[in-house]
Amino acid sequence: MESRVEQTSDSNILLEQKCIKKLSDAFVFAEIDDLPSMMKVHTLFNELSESLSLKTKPNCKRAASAAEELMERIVLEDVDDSIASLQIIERTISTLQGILLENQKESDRHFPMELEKDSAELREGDFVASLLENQNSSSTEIVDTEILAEFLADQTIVQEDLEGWILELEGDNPASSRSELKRIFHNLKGESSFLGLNEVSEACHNVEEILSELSVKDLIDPLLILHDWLGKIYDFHAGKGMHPGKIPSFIKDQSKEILDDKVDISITNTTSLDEERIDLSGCDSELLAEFIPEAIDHIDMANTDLLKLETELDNFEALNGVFRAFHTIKGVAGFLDLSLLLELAHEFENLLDRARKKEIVLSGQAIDLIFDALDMMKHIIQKISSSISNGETSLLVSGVKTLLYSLEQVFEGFTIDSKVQLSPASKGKRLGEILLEQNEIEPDVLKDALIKQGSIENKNSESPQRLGEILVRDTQVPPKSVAQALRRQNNVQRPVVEIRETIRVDADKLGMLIDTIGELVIAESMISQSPVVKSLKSTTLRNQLSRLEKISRELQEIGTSLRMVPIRDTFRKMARLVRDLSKKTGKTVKFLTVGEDTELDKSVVERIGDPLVHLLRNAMDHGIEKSSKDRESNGKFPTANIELRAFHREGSVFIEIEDDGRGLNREAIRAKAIEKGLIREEDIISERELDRLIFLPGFSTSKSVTDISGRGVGMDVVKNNIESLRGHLEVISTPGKGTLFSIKLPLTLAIINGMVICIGQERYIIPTLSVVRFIRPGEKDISTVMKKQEMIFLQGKYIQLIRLGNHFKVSGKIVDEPTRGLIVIVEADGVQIGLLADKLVGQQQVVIKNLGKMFEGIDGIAGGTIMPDGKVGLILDPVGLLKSTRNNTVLHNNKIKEGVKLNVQS
Amino acid sequence: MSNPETINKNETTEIRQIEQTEKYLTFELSKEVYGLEILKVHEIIGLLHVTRVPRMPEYVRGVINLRGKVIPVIDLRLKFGLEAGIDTELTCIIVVQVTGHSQSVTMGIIVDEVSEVLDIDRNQIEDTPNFGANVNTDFILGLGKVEKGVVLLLDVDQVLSDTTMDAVISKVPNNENDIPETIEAEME
Repeated sequence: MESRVEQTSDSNILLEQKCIKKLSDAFVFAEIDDLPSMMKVHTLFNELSESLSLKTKPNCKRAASAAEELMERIVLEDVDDSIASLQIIERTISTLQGILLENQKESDRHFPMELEKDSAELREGDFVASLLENQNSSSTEIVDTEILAEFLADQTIVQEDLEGWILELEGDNPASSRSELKRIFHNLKGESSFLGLNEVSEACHNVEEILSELSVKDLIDPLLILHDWLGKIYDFHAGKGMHPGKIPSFIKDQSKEILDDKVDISITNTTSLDEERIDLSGCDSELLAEFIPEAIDHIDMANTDLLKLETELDNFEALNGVFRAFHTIKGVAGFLDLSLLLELAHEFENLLDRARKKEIVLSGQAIDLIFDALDMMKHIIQKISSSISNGETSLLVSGVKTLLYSLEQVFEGFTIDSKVQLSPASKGKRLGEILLEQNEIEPDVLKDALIKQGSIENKNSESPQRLGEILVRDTQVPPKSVAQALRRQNNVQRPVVEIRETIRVDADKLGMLIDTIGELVIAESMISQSPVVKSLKSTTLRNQLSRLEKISRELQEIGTSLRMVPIRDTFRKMARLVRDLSKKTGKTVKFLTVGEDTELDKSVVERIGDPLVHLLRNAMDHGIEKSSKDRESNGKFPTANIELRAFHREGSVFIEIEDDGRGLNREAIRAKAIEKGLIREEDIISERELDRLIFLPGFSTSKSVTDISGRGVGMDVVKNNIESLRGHLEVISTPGKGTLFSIKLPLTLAIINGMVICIGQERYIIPTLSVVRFIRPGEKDISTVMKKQEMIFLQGKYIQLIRLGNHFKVSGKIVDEPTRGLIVIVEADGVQIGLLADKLVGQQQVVIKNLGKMFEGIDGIAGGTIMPDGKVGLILDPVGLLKSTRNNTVLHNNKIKEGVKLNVQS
Repeated sequence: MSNPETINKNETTEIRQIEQTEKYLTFELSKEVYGLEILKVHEIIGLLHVTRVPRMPEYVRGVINLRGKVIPVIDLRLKFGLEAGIDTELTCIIVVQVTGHSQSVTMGIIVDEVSEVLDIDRNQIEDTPNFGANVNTDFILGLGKVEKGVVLLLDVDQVLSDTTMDAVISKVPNNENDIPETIEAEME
């Protein structure tokens, strides 16, 4: 029994160590503008502080939870200097590592003072207050529709969980559901505040506070109301339904608040109320008569300007033109006491003014609204005009309120377009075609307009008119539809978020399905290959068999494709990253993505994100010249280009990142390598080898560490990450022209190419990726060290020889003479080793299967697989083999890294 | 028992009695009869090719392909320290679902011969007598008395967790000892 108790405390330590390792890894990848990575660090701190016991390591526990709080504040941008705060976190992590991993005493190590100070402040409650203030003051700003879509899609499941846990509160274990609810709201708070859904984050914050205070009875109803409210908010952002109104407040009177919401909805919903009477009795009819044609002129001009603005977002002159129109109409309307027109013009003037001050960039949705406003003004003025001629003194106008309400919505949910845009791979259609498709114009009209556009006058005039302008001027087409067509042409994203419908399936079920399909294929081939069946002469049977074969092969293809997802989402995140970085560094960059539909195994897609972030960060920070002047002096366009590509080739997936920046600075690399003692001054190495040095740990030529990159931990981590996906990273650089990082990845982690070798009666599979070559050495090539270790002399180097048969204790007759067997040279961890086997059976693609807990951690075996004959084959892990034979011998100077193990999937 | 009055009176004992009969799958190992709770048994399959996994204790025969899943198989004879048997046509693998420390694992156990499913009354089960250090009875839940004799009731969960531990332990010393040994053997 005693040993078991020890084991649990051991396992606790293991858990702590695992936690801190994960944490330090996550921190390396965490970047301040990448929220998910920051949240990961935050969560890991939480896990760590929970796993640490207050008895044995009180300081660590406290430090971890203080750091967790600090991380939260960094994420919520509630710290003065986020870089300094991150440094505090970094120091905390290294101290924690010292204590937890190197068994230093808690009393010997000190956590950063600032951390304690920070958390002390925190206890005083300032933080909470400031947090609330922050959230209330900042305006709602939807950050990115793509990320929002993802968030919303996830929320359906979160909502279900939420409801479940709320109802569970009445169950047997309210404490656990309370803490679960806290966790959900906490996460939701962080995510929603990042996405600018401030009402959601505020609500979650309030709930977090009351969760522990109120009794279960008082809690359930408000929580359910909140749950429904959240659902409506999500629907609203997904473009379905109305905004549900204010946050239900629990601490105040609940019922009143709910009532308020209902009133709110009814106002916005009922258009019949949206009618306004315009009284003309007080107007000077002469002045009015003068105003009408003038206003119509202004509106028409504004329409033309707005169209220009649609395609050239930064056309300041056009923006001014639109602004002027609204301004003039506002002035005259005020003078004439037309309050409705005044209000309308005024509100839109405000919007345009903000655009003029560059506070906002007018996006498609806003421009649509301005078109609507212009139409509305025109409509009102025409109505006034007809009223005057009929001698009426008042008239009814409808729809103004709705328009103003939508303007408010636009103001709230403003998306700021940036300089970086996702350029679609092909622009395709022309304006005329799109208009035709939308049935906006007749072919004849289009033809006329095209002829006009092509006419000599137009071409020779100083500012040739565009098709859209001609169409609008001749009033054949409403300007709004031209604008929409133009937008479609430019492929600007639609403002309404689209949620793709998917079914979430238990990964185990999926695995079972794929396993069963694999079995079916084996069973099928066993039948059709069996001599008994082959000897049958029935054509019908043969046809049926081939049909069976076809179906089972199709099934297998579908099975593998189930796990494949397009890389699109990852690429979109990268576009976002580049845009943010471009703002931060002030470098203008055009970011192009190609091959977003390329499909990869889900687990690969999930894990390729971090390396890509690093590579892009590098490209932005180091790759691209400091300023556009630098670029121009090198004869390049001021706008830099970064291209992210994904494509299939040779049965692998390639992901490439190419920039047209400075390229690698080989002299700096060389100098750094000499400084670090990696090469000698007189060494001559190829450019390629020199370039590859950047993948070594701690290798950074950057003189200054910026908050974007340059800490020198990047490239080796990237390389390791990619290798852990069984991929390969390559760099090709042309000084002055740019750098290309090429990542080669297997299509799936579950399938590998393997060499099947034979030892006695047993078969093993060596991953082809690690096989260097096969040799059959001569007797003189084999030598021994102290009669304990054999070596092979190969190309001027001595290579350790492992006799697999002996190592694995294979029974029966095996080849024990290296000169008669086959030696497979494999590369493991940067070292070559020779493996003695009997013979090579062949090459084969195999699906990796987990061997289960019992066989966990057998050095040298990475997993199992089902061979075509239905038996199990074992897959060798060269790194593990090397480790198990190495003992304490140091074989090379480099510190031996953690072995990159094959990732085994069940 | 057929008298309704008695049932009413002894309701509680009656219920207990119903619960007390449990079904056991019995099988033979070296002529001894063992029993296994039927609820733990997934299926019984004929002996098929077992792939040996190196560096594991001898009683771990290896792994088999159970409809696309790779599961471990242990040889109960060797596990219990009985002499190794010769595989016959009757030798088969009982696939069991066992619960370890944290998760449940599917594994196969190789037995000489599967006999039958028996109902054994709780009353007929005796605690395992203590035989001293010579006989390890950790894996035996108790002794079931049936018409034909005695059935050794197996605690299969215990067998697995013990096996997992053995596997972990056997790996550690192996690493340091066996390389010099084997190389020396080769050199001679």
